[in-house]
Amino acid sequence: MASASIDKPNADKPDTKYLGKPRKIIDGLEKIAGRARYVADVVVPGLLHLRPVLSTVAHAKIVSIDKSEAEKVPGVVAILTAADLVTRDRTITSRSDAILAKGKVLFVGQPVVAVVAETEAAAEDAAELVAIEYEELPVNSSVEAASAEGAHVTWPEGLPKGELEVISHAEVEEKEEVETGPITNHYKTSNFNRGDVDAGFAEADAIVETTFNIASQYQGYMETHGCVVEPDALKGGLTIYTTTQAQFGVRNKVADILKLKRSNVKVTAMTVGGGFGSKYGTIEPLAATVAYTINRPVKLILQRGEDLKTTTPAPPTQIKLKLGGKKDGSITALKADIVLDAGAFAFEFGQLTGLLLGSNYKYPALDIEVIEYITNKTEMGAYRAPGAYQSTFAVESSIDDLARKLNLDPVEFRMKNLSGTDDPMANGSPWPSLNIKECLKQMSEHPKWKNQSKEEGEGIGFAVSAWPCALSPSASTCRIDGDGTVKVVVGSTDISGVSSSLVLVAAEILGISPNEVELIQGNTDVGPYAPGSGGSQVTYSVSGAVAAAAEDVKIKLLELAADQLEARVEDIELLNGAAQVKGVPSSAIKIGKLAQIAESSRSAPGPLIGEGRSSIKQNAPGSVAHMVKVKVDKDTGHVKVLDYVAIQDVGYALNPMLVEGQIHGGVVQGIGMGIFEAHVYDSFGQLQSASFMDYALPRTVDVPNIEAIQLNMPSPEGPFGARGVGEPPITAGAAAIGNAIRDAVGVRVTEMPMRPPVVWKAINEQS
Amino acid sequence: MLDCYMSSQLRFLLNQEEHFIDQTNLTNTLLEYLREHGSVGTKEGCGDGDCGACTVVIVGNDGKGNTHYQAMNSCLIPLGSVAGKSVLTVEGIAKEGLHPVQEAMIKTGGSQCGYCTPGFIMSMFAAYYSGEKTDLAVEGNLCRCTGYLPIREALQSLSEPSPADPFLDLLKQPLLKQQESEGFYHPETLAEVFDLTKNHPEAHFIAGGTDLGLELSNKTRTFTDFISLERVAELKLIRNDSDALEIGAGIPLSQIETKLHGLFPALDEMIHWFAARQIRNRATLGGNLGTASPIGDLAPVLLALDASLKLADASGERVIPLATYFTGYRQTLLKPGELIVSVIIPKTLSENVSTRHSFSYKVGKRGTDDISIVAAAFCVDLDEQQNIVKARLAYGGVAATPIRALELETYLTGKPWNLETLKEAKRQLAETFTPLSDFRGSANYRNKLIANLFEKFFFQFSEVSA
Repeated sequence: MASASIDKPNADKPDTKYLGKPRKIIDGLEKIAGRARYVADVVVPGLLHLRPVLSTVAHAKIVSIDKSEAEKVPGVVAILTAADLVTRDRTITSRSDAILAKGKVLFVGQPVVAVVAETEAAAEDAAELVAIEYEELPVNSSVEAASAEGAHVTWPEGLPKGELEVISHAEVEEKEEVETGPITNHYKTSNFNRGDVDAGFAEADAIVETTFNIASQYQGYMETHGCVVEPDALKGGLTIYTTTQAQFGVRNKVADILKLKRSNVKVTAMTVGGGFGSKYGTIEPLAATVAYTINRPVKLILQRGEDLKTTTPAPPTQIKLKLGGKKDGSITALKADIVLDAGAFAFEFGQLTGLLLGSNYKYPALDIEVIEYITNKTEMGAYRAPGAYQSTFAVESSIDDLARKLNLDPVEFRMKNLSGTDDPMANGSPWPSLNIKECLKQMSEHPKWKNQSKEEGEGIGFAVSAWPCALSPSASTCRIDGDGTVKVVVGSTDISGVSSSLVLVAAEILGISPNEVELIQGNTDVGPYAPGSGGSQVTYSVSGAVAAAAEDVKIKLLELAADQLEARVEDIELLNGAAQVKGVPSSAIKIGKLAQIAESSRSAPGPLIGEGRSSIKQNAPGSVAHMVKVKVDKDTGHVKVLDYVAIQDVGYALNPMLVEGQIHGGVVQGIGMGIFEAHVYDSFGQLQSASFMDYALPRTVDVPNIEAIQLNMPSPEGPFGARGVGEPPITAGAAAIGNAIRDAVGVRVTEMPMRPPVVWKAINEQS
Repeated sequence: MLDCYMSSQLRFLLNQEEHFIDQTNLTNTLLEYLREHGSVGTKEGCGDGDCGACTVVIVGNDGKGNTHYQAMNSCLIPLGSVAGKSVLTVEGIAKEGLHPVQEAMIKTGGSQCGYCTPGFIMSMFAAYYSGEKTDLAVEGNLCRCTGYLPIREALQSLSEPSPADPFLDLLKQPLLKQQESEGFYHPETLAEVFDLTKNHPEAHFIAGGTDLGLELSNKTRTFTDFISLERVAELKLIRNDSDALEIGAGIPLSQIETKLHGLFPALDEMIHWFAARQIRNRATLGGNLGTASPIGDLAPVLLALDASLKLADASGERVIPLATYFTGYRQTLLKPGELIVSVIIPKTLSENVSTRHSFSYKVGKRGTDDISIVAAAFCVDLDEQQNIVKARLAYGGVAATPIRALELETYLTGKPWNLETLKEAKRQLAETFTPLSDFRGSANYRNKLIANLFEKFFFQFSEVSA
C-alpha cells in the first residue's frame, strides 16, 4: 500500500512529539477482541423487546388494525398504535414526529404498530400476526409521478417541516422562498444566480448540455439503527442508549417530542458501528415514546431489511447541466436544474446541493435551481458529503466533456477556472482557505498521470472536488488523577477514531505519553456540549476545546509545581509526565504526585481540572483530486477499478494513520456509489434493494490499490491547522470513474451507479 | 447431571466448552444462541449471510480426511446443525495475549468502527491456518470504514503458525460424539434417511442450509422437523473415473473448489463467482439444484457439461438428465421425499472430437457474490477440422428455469467454429429467449448479454482475435 504525506512549502508545521505522528486507535484492542459494546449488547433489568410493524404499501389509508391474534402470543406485553401513545394528539409534520402512522401511511417501511414482548422472538411472532387493513391511495414513486398534473397530493393539509439537522453538516446561508398557491407535491425551490447566463452562453465557443441521473444510495453502515430506552423513575425522564452520531441532537429531539425537559433525557452513545450521515435519531423517538407510554424499558434493534426501508438514504437526484466555455480556456456560464426526490418528508440538503454544484469553479455567470418534490418513499437524508458527490459527478463529467470539445487539456482547463481562497461560492460568500488547485497540481505531476500506461479497454480519468466542512462550538474538561492518568471528557461521539486524535492533543500539551491519556465520551448528562459527528467537523471543532482544557489544567499544574519547587511558574516545564525546573531533571515531580498533593493537602489549591471551550468562526474546507484507472468490458458493460490515487489537502493531520483510514474508506465508498450501489423502488413504491444481496456494496476483491497522498496545507483557524477530513474523500470518486470510462471507451455515462447495463447501454447508444 | 438427560440432548463445543442445546432451540440460529449466551462479540449485520459480521469458525473436514478451520455465517446455521461440532468465536481465540491475526489487525489499523471486525478476525483466523493470504479469504466480509486496505495488509502480513500454536493441537482433538435428537435428525446413511421420512413425512431436508437458513434467520416460516443430510455418507462420495465424475450432492462447494479444481474449467470459474467463502463452506451442489432458482449459477454449468442427477427415495434410485430436471419456475422432477444423491458429469468425448472448449460467465451488479443478471456456460466439442461436433449453450436468469438453447445447438452441429458461425449464432441467440426486465437488468440488456457472452466465449477459444 503506497501512501505519502507531503508538506507544502511555508507550512507552519508545529514541532511535536505525538501530534502529527501515526498512532493506532485507542479502542482498537477492545474492538479486535470483540469486547467493544454496541447498543445491541446492552441489557437493563426488565428489558422488553420492541418490534415495529412496518407499512407494506407505499400510500394508503389505514382502515383497521386488528391486534387480537397478536395479543394471544405468549410473552406479549403491549401492542400499540398511534392512538395508544402519549403522542396521540401530536400532528405529524416530520419523520421524527411520525412515531407511528396516524390514519395514513406514506411510504413502504413506515412504522404503523409497535409490538412489545418479553422476548425478541415473541415480539417478532406477534408482529407478524398484527392484521392491518389498508385502502390504497395513488402512489407517487418518482418525481415524474409526483410532479405530473393532477398527481395525488401526499400532504394536502400542509407540507412537512424540516428537522434543522442541516446545521450540523455544513453551514449554508438560508435564502427561503415563501411558497404561495395551492399545496402540491412541490416541496421547495432554491435558487442561486449570478451574472448574465444568456450572454455567457452566447459568447461561448462550445457548450455541453447533459442530464445526469443519480440513484438513491444507502449509507450501508454495518450496524443497523437501534436503541435501548429506560424510563427514569426518579426524574420522570428517560435514559437512552443508542448508536448515534449526535447524542445531543437525539436528546433534544426526544425531549421535545415527549414534552420533557431536555435535561431529563439522558443519552449515552454506545460504540457506533458506522453512521455516514444516517444516525441522527431516526428511530429513537419511536422507542422512547413506547417506553415512556408503557413505563417499561424497551430495546429496538432494526433488522437489516427494516433499516433499508425505514431510514434515510440519499435522494434520487437529477441534474440537467449546461456549461459554456471559450477557446481561451475560460468558462462563460453555468446553468443547472436540479430535481430532488425528497421522499415522504423534508429533505434537508437540497440547497446545499445547489450551493456545492456552483462553487468549485469561478463561473462569471450562473443560474442554479433546485426543486424538491415529495414522493411516497422513505425520507431522504444525508450520506457522507450530501450533495457534493452528486453535484461533482455532474460538474466534473461536464468539465471533462467541455475541455474535450474545446480541445483543451483537462488539467489546464480546470486550473484556469478552479476556485481558490476568497473566490465566491455560488451564493457569493467567499471561500475560506481552499486548495483544490494545489491538489490537482500534485496529481498532474504524479507519474501515473504523466506516464500513462493503458491497455485495450482501459482508461484513466480524474476529478476534483471540495467539501466546505462544518463547525460548531464545543467544550471539554481535562483532569489529572493521583496515579498520573489524564482524563479528558468530551460530549462528542467517536465513530471513526476521533477520540484517538483528541488524546494526542492533550498528550502533546501536557508532555505525557498518549498511553496515559484517557478519552472519556461523556453522555449528555456528563459530557460537555459537542456537535454531532458529521459534516467533517468533530476533530476540527472539538480538538480546540480539548487543547484549551489541557492548557487550562497545565497552568494549574505549573503553578502547583512552582509552589512545590519554590521556583517561578515561567521556569517550570512539563516533560515525560513530570514537572521540573527547566533543565533540572533531579527536581522532577510526577504529575500524579502533584495531583495527589492538590487533592490531599489542607492548603492545596484543590483537584487538578481544567476546562476549555472552542468556537471557531471559519470553515476549513478539504479539497481533493482523485485519479483512477478502470477497465471496461465492452461486451457486458462491466467496469473494474484497477488503480487509484487520492490526493487530499488535510490541513494538518493530528493522527495521519486515522486520516489515511478516512481517505481509504471514503474512496471505497465512492467506488461503491460509482459502480455498484442503487437503492431502487418500483412503480408501486416497493423497495427492490431490500437486502445486502440486492444492495451491492464493494468488497475486498473489488478494491484496487489506493495511493493516499496527504497534503499538509494548514488552515488558518483550525486547531494546529487541521481541516475536515471525513467527507472530502467521497466526493470525487464516481466522477473520476465516469471520466476514466469516457477515456476507455469514448462514451459518457450519465447515470450513477455505472452498473453493467448502464455502461453497456451508453456504449451501444453513443458509439 | 444425569446420564440419560445428557444423552438425549444435543451438544456442541463453544470455544472448547461443552454446551447443551435446549430442545426448543433447534431451529434458532447459532448467532441467536451465541448472543443470548454472552458471546456478543459475534455481530448481526444483515441476518442474510451477505455481510460476514456474524462469521464464526467451525472445525470441519476438508474432504481429504483432515480437520481444518472453516469460516461460516452463524446467522444461517440452525443450532441443530451444530450438534457435535466445535465452534470458535472471537472471544475464544485470544489465548496468551492476542491471536496473531488480532495483532496484525491492530498493527495495520484494520478496525475503525469495529462492528465488522470480529467477523473479519474469524475469517482471517481460518485463513491463517490454511495459509491463504488473498482477498478471497475475506471476500464474504463487508467493511464500510477502512476501505479494506489495512485489512488486506494485515492478512498479507501473517506468517505461518508456530508448531506450538494451541489451535493446531485443537484440530487434532476428536470431535464430540454425535447424538440424536427429536426434531433435528442426523442420519448417517440413505437408508436411515428414508426410515426417518417414513415416520416424519413433514420433515424438511437440510444440508448446508444457506437458503433455508434465510427463512430461519428472518423467521419467515416455521418448521417442525429437520432431517440433516450433513452426515449421510452416500452424499459425500466423489467418484472420479475415466468416464465420468460423480460428485456427492452433500459436498460443500468449497470442497469441490479445492478437491476437483482443474477438471472442468467451467465449473471452477462459476464456483469462483458463486457467493462468498462462508457460504461456499456450507452450500452444497444438491442444495443449489434442489432450490431450483431460475438463476442458480451452477445449473447452467452442469447443463452445458451434460450432467445427470442421481435421485433416490425409499423406493430406490433413478438417474435423470439434468436437462429434463427443471420443469417450471422453482419446480423440478423431484418427488416428495426424494433427494438428489449425486451429480454425474460425463468425461468421455465422442470419437471424432479432438478438442473440447468449455467455460462459464456471470454478469451481475458486482460480479462475485451477487445475484446474476445473466449466468452462462458453454461447451463446444470440435473435430480435427475445427467443425462443431456438439455444442451446448446454457443460461440462467433468462427464463423461468436454467435453460439450454437447444435449437441453436442443433443448428451448430457440423458447422465450422468460425466467425460466420458465430455471427449466425448471435443472430439466433437474440431471438431464442424472452427474458424479463427487472431492476437488475432490462430484457433488452439480457438478450444482448445472451449473445455477447457466447461471443466472448468464441474469442476466448478460437484462433480469431476480437
